[in-house]
Amino acid sequence: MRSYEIMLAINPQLEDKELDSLLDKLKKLIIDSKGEITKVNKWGKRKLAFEIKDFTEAIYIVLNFNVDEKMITEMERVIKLEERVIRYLLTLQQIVKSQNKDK
Amino acid sequence: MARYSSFRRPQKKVCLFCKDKIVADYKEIDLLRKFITEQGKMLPRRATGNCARHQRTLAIAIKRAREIGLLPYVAK
Repeated sequence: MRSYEIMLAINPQLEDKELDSLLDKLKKLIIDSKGEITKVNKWGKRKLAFEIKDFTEAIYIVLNFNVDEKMITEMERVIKLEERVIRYLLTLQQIVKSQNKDK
Repeated sequence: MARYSSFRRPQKKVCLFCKDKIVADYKEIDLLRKFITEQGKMLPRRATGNCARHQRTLAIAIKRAREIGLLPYVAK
């Protein structure tokens, strides 16, 4: 079990319903693999620093979750195939990792 | 030696991350913007005054922010 943080840049033309269905899909993926979501942070629309796939802005979402490291490859595969996600950034949270060592 | 008398050593800068006890995070764009030029280039250590360790973590944070489109690689 490791703690991860993923930042998603999502197509800004998506409606709220579609955005929620996309988030639910990811949340389900995490929960189905016995992971847990610790934090969901919606930044909303932001301008991109440069054009990505012809988009000038994107909806940003930050997800913090704990999941087994074997699940990450599967998760990345799903996200890469997801066309609504313009770009993603997956990072390992080191602060939580050191806490796990103490246990 | 007289010709050096007007020379003044610039005051040594203190690493901001050590001083405030913070860690560079790719999400804090306003903070990261202080450490890049108008063109979007990272400032060198001699300009920021950061310690080696924090300059390294800062560089990673800036690169991550660029990857996700929060900071520019090259600003126009």
